[in-house]
Amino acid sequence: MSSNLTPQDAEPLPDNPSGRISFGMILRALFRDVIVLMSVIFLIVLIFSATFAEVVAPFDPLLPNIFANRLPPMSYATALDGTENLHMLGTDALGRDILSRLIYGARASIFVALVSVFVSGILGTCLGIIAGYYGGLVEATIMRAVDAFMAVPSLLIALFVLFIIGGGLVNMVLIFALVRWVVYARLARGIALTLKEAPFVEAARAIGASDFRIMYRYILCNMLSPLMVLATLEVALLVLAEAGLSFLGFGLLPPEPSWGLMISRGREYMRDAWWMITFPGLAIFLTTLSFNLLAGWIRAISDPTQRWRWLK
Amino acid sequence: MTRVLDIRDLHVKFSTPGGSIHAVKGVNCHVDAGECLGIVGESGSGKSQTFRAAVGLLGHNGIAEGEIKFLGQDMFNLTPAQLNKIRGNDVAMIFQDPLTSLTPGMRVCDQMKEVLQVHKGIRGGEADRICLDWLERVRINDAKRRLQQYPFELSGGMRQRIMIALAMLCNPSLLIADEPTTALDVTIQAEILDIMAELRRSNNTSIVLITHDMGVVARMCDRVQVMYRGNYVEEGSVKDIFANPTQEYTRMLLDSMPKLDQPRSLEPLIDIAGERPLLETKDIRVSFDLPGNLFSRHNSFNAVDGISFKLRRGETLGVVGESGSGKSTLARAILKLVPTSDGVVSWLGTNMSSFDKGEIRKLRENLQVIFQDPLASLNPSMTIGDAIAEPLKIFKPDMSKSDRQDKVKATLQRVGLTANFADRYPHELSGGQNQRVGIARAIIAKPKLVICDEAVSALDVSVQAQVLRLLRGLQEEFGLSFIFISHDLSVVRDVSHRTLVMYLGRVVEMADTDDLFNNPTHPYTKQLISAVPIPDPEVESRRQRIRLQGELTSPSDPTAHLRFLPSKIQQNQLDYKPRLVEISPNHMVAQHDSIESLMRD
Amino acid sequence: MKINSPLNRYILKRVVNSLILLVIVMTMVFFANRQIGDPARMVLGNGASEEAVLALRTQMGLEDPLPQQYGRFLFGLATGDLGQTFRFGMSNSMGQGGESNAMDTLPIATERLPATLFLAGATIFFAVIVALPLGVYASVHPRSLPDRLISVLSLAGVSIVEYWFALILVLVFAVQLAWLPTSGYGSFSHVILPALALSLRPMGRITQIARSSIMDEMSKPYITAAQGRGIPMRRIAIFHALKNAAIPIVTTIGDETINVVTGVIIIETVFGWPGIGALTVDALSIRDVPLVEATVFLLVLMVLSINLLVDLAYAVLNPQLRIK
Repeated sequence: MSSNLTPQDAEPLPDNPSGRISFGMILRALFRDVIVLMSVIFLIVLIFSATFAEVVAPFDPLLPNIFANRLPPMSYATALDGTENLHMLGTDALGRDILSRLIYGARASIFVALVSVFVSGILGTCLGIIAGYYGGLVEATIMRAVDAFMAVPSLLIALFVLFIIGGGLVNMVLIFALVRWVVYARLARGIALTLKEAPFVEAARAIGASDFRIMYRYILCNMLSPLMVLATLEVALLVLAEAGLSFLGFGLLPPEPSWGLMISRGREYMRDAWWMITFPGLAIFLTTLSFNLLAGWIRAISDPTQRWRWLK
Repeated sequence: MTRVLDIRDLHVKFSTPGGSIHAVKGVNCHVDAGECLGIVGESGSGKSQTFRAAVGLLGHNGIAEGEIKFLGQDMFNLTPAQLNKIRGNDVAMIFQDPLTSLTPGMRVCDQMKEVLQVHKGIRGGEADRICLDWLERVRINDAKRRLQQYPFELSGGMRQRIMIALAMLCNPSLLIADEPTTALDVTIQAEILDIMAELRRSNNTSIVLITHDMGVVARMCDRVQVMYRGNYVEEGSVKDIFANPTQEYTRMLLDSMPKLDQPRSLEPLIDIAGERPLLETKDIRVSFDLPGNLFSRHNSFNAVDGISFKLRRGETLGVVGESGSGKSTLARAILKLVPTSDGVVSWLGTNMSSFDKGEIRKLRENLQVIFQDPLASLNPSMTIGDAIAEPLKIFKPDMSKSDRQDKVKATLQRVGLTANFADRYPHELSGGQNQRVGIARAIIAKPKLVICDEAVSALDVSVQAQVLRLLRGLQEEFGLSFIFISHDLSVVRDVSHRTLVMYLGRVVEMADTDDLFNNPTHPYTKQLISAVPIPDPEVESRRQRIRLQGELTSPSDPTAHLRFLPSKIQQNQLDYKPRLVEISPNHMVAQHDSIESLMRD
Repeated sequence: MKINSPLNRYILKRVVNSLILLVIVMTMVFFANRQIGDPARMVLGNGASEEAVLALRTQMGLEDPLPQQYGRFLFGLATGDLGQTFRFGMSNSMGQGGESNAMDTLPIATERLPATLFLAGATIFFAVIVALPLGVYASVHPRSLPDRLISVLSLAGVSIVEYWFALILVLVFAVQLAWLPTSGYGSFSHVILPALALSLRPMGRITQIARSSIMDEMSKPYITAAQGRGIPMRRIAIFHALKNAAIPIVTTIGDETINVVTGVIIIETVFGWPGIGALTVDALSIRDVPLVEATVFLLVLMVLSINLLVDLAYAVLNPQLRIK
């Protein structure tokens, strides 16, 4: 009986290259979309200057100069040491350089957002996968907590807790991690519930794969792209939230440079010093917009039905 | 004879990710009044696209060129409004999946009356009357109530009947049925085909039956046209094509299909006296909770309700049943993927429930599974090589990486793939290739038993034949045992030494395969076998069909298990469970009433 | 209609769920509040004697065991009594024992509710009437120039910095052009700027979801099947697709309404809008714990009611919920 198959018996191997997305493909796709490219460049510049603010910023963000207060953009002022300084974006009510404050403000904003997203993302994803995979009482407990957090607007919880424990960088990270883990938990649980029933997970269980291996290799690895999209959207949201809380006076404390604080300080002078609120507002808006654009783009290139339009 | 549809030199192209795809390449085809034309081909043959193009349903990225005349009108020169006048009125379509083809959230009567209103301007009581009339003509039970229901409340068979009634409302001259029975069980398929044949007789409607199943063509059609990869292959009367196919491809299609009426080539298993069975189940049960709520108690029903069998080394046990029969649950219970609520499963004579962790590990190594959907049963984020190596990583953690890679390569070659598949991802491969990967993963750790759960059902017939040949070769080489679960009786008959027929979690008949198919005894087995279309028009025209009363009963119906023993219901013994009786050596049949009393009048 | 119908069961289940959540959240608030510090000390100020503080603590029930305090809190919650404030609106009369000046907190907070509901309602109404036509248009003409423009604009809307945008609006329309009042409450013209500032984010998000859910729905097989029956496209869109496409849109409108309820916290402060959000910020800044409890209670109640409304809308749109 000629039951032994030869390779010729099977259909040919498809000739398209491996389905793995290479870095080069992503780069090329990036260069094809001008708007996303611009926002990525903006974010790179922003993160770079925030990290190396000491080198990049023209002046000390905390150094007041009462003789040069509320200078409009592109004006020169004589500093205390006698040098002539150009304030490209003007100065604030205490004569501090707005551009330098924006750069140092970016550091706070980006730091708070990225670290919070990192912490809450890991926490929420783990809890969500555990809830979805094990079900039962574990799931009921975790999801009841998620519902409770969802029932109260995050900003309200943040206000409330910051009011109790006080503002500041570390407290903000803690509070954002506390209120935002639920979105990852909800997403991860939903996907885990679907994937748990997927034939390939059942196949893994039949092979004898351990629960941990299944949760990691079969469930987590297959939800990375939606998680990445969500995390990017969350960075945008947290940049807004940090600014909002600081604006209300519950976040970073003066004289710390923070975009939200700068707007709230500039509010008193907005009738005659428009630049004091305009530039920090623009900074928040552009940062948020760039992260949102990036999230949409990640979603598009990770969606197999849309990917072709970007990666080729 | 009037020509209803005339397709000349039709080309269909789709603009897609990878560029333009030429799906139909110059096809000619015609349909005469009152005839039934079968269009046969495997996936990717362009058979559906040809007729979607004919009625202007290609979707936004499809372009059709050529000439299509329907009742003398050029279909490509019509405005959307003119086209809408024809569709649903003169030509109607039914699709494969009746659930997704009916509008969810819209009652049956609203969907039906809409057609009457749009095409005939009939509303109100008159429309109600016509709808009810049609539902009765497609033999839906309790038609009046069905009109008020939503699609999700109806079974697959009922939904497809409603699709047919919807299509027939305006008495079209042409009905295009695109794989109308592929998603349905065989007994329901038989009834749907009966209804279509009857409508054709009574209304003189021409039918185009698009299908992959040569048996359906043999039962239903006058003429058949074969397609392959967008090309016309051959065309002729059903009798001629089946008797003397002129093209190699047609012959291959016909040969690939296992046939119920032809002898099979399976070497009988030699009994070794005193050998312990590899696997034995005694009266196992699996029960599931039906969701309850605040106001009602939790119910449970037995998806597997007392099944016993023995499986010998090197044997293939076929398990046949329709949807809801519990055959897949049985597989999962044996694999310990769902807990059994009762009964004993023994592996080489030892009760599996007494196994400790190490023994379960050893068991899993020896007990593997191949699932129905080859793509879905592979982790999309793992390469083929990683997927196949997975059992080795779990069962032989000490194995070196290079040894493992060598083993993966060898196994890939054994299942008919080349070693360079190892770096690919499942979505790059065809269904047949992925199923070979599934097989490679199942056999790499040298198991003793492989459970095939509908392992070839999603594959085209030619690929199915290759995979079946591969499985049989592996059985000979390694002395594997198989439990081969399928809804397809012809396939099960082809590969199994013994066959077990399931209905709602219980065994209705179990015997050596030849015995079972030659002397089916239980009415349900008889009905099943008679419902399977045989790809031979001669045989089909002579066959006697067995039609039993009623549809498959819902598992939540308390008397469901007495469907073939209604005399016990009359005697009010509702808890009575039909027993298995050995009518001849190794031939077990569940108790039942006489078949005459169960037949439909 | 039967009392035990699936629809009633579904609604009852949702209501019970919401009430349980309300209790959980308020419990969290209760225990969190005990961490802030001694409420009696806050009322009396740092200069008060230990005896006076102890007397007030006893009077406020703070000397009772915690379970008893919690029980009283729950009972108060059930009867609509959320305690008294000793600080709000009486910053001058502080110092000497506040009992005579104490006011019930819930009425103070409830009084602010209509203003917030008015602003949130106007915002969502405005967002929906702009977003739906844009989303529908974009879904019918995918990848056209207007579609791309709508996509970019909705993304910009989602990224908006509400209070900053509000200030810019004030600067332009109130200060420079003097068309509208800078802040305050009363006439219709007062609501325009705050509603506009708040509505851009929901507008953007609803547009995005409307576009994608309609496109999703129109590519489903039942649409092709209806086309095959010769039903005109417009009719298919309205009678077949709309109901199903509406489910994600309704979800988004609900979520966005909740976000607006959060957004009012900041925007009301900017515009001096006498709503519950501004009250919350005021109460927090004078560390008035009982009043914070009351405003949080109302805000949570609003969120839960919105969720309940969305659940009801599901029942209307999805017959499966009504029948099974």
